[in-house]
Formats: sequence, C-alpha cells, structure tokens
Amino acid sequence: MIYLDNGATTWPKPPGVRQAVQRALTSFGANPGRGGYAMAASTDEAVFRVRADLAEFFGAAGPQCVCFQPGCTQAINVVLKGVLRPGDHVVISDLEHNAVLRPLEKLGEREITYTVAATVPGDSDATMDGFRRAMRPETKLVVCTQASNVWGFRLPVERLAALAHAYGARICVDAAQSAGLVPIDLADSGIDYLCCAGHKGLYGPMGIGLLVLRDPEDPPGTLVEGGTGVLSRQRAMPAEPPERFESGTGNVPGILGLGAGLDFVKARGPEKLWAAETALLAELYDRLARLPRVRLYTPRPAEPGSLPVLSFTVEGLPSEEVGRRLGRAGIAVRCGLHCAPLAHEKLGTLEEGTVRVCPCAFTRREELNTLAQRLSRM
Amino acid sequence: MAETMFVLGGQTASRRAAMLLRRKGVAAQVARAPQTPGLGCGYGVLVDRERREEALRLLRQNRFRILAVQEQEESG
Repeated sequence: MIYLDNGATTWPKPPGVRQAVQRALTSFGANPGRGGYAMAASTDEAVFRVRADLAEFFGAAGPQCVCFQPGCTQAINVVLKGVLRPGDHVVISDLEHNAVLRPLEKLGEREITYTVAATVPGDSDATMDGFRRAMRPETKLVVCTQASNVWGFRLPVERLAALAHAYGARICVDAAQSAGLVPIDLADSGIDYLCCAGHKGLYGPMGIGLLVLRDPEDPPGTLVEGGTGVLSRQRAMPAEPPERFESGTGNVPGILGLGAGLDFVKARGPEKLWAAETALLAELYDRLARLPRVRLYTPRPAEPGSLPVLSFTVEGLPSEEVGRRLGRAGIAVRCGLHCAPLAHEKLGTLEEGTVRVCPCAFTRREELNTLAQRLSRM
Repeated sequence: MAETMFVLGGQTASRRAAMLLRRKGVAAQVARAPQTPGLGCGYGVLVDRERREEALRLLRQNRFRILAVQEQEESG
C-alpha cells in the first residue's frame, strides 16, 4: 500500500515507537502515580522522562506544563471549557477544525460567543487585520490552528499571541498538524495553551495527545474529574498540573510510544522533515498542475508559509470517488471535508470536498509518482 | 538512617523536586508518602535528615508547595 494519509495519522511508525509500546506492555506494566513498589516507580519515572523531553522540545517551563490527554481534541476541549465563562467571547480563524468549532457551538448554550476571523493565505498582515477586527473588549481567548489540515496554510501564531495579549486575552494554538514539523517554543512564541496530537507529526501511537501550558501557576478549570492517585481525601481536583488534568489511569503505552516518536523527530530534525516533505509535495504539485482535469487550490507548497498538505479535486469526479479508485489501486488518501468545513467553505469546496495528500518521513518519491500516474488516467 | 519526607502531592512535582535536590548535591529519592491527615495519598521526596534544612530552603526557593513534612526513622 502507498500510504499518503499522514495528515490523519502517520504510518508506519518508526521501529523505536513499536519497541517502546511493546516495552510498556512488558516492562512498565504498573499504574504510574499510584503504587510505591518498584515497577510502579520505574513506570512513573519512564513517564516523567517523556514529559520532561516534551517540555524541553516545546520550550515549556518544565515537565509540570505537559499534560497528557487522549488526543488533541480533548486538549482543546479542556482549554475552551476550562477557561471560558458565560459572557466571554472567542476569536477563531476561518480554517478551524471541528475540534474547535463544535465545542464552541456547544458553549453557545452558556452564552459564550465566537467570531470567525478571515485569514489571507500568504499575507500575515492582512490575516492580522482580520483578527484585529474580530477582537472585542470581552474577548478572552483566541483559538487558531498553526496550520490548516486541509490547505497547509500557516498562521502567524506568534503575532496573534501578541495581539491576544494586547487585548488581555489568551491564545490557544491547535498544533495537530504542525507539531513535529514546525519548531514551537512556548517561551518565545507567547502561546498560552498548545494542543497537539501525538500520533501525527510526533509519530506516537493513536490515543495520546498533549496540552502544554505556558503558565502552570494559572491552569484552566478541569474538563474531567476523578482519581489521580494523590490528595485523595480532597473532594476537589489537585490544583497543580499535570495531575489536575490527568484523571484516571494514564495511557502508558501511548506515552512511551510518543516519547520514542519524539526521539525520532529530534534525531531527524523537524526543519529537515518539513523541508523534505515539502520538496516531495512540490514535485507532486508540478506533476498534478500539468493534468488538465486536476484542480489545485493553493500555491506550490513552500516553506515557511505552508505545511506539506496538498488538497485537490478531479473535474467531473466527486472526491470520494477519486479516493475509492485510488484505494482500489492501493493508494491511501483522505477525501471529503477533513472535519474542517470552515476551511472548505473558504475555498469553495464545501459541497464535494477534496482529495488530500500528506507525506511523512517514510514517503518515497516513487510513491507520489505512482499517485500522479494513476490520476493522469482518471 | 533518619530521613525527612517532604510531601509534595503529585508524582511530577516530587520527581522535579528530587531532580533539583540532586543537582544541588542533596541525595533525594521519590517515594510514596505515608497517609497525610486531610490529604490522603501522595508522593514526596526523602532526604537524609541532616540535609533537611538545606533541602527545605531549596524547595522553598524554587516555589514547591510543601504539603507536609514527616520525619521517618529507619525500619528493620
């Protein structure tokens, strides 16, 4: 199979990730943060090492800032539902995923409102103007993706952080698509809440994500309450992260697998991964641009303005049909709306969706050539 | 050996504290804390009682929230 659906989840996983998951099941089988015996302590130590590595990778103040979550979606929900109060207002971009949109719709029941700011791909100043116009005195939070999961467009999150802070608001960045490719430093960027998937560009297993806090002294309210193994006589959740956000037994295989994925990314270097994948995708773009029935919607992929995500349609064929035909030929792509209706509405593809191609560290040029050949015959 | 346990609550805070103390030359280990009145289960760092004041100063300087201090005698 030629796997080009890495925007949904990277595959295959590096050998070190598979080994780490297996090691979690064979050697680190105790519940971390619960017992005091040797395997509980060694498991907890292993989890802590991953936490510390992630904190360093993202420029966080310390391991306590890294809260493991089941995924990026839950991390975003923690921020939205833990920060916002009735009467608050939120500004989001017109590229947001349903992980942002749907919780905000739900929060409308609590008189929390939001405004969608127009972005202008390739023009950060114009994008900033769009956000500036959307800000209000009651705006408490700016939520934006670091890069569109449909079009690959990057947003100027550092400038948006400065804007949010100037209005007394905070910023939450959805880095589901960008973590592992785009260097992120919480201390420098001003990002208050960073939400990441562990199973995409960080090459971990599914079922693990991150909420990284810039200020651990002022954490959001909780989304889920329950046992943490500590301060058990208190009826309230612990005040301090990460335990505050980690009720229930942690996903140790996921966490240790994510740690190994991070090691893989660090060894290759995020910038090098980004450059290599972008170069591959740019070649594919050139080939597809010569196919008369293929419609491309974005400029040629190039750093630093975009991530290696390419969406297109084939004239006369619904995107799902293109995906079905490619699937029959052993090529895995993602079709439809990619859970991001706003992003499709923006470029006029809301009705039919698009076909999305995302390479990863293991994608070979020949595989993209095969895709282009298949498309040329449709 | 008589030891002092600084109960810090969570295992993450306890591991951070132990790292800090070791970096400053104070031997420290993370351990499960005895049940603490009003708090219940938790973790903390154990240090040699002779280093208690030094450890306490370092933890306070680095803004660790010390929930309880317990003196422990070597058993067995």
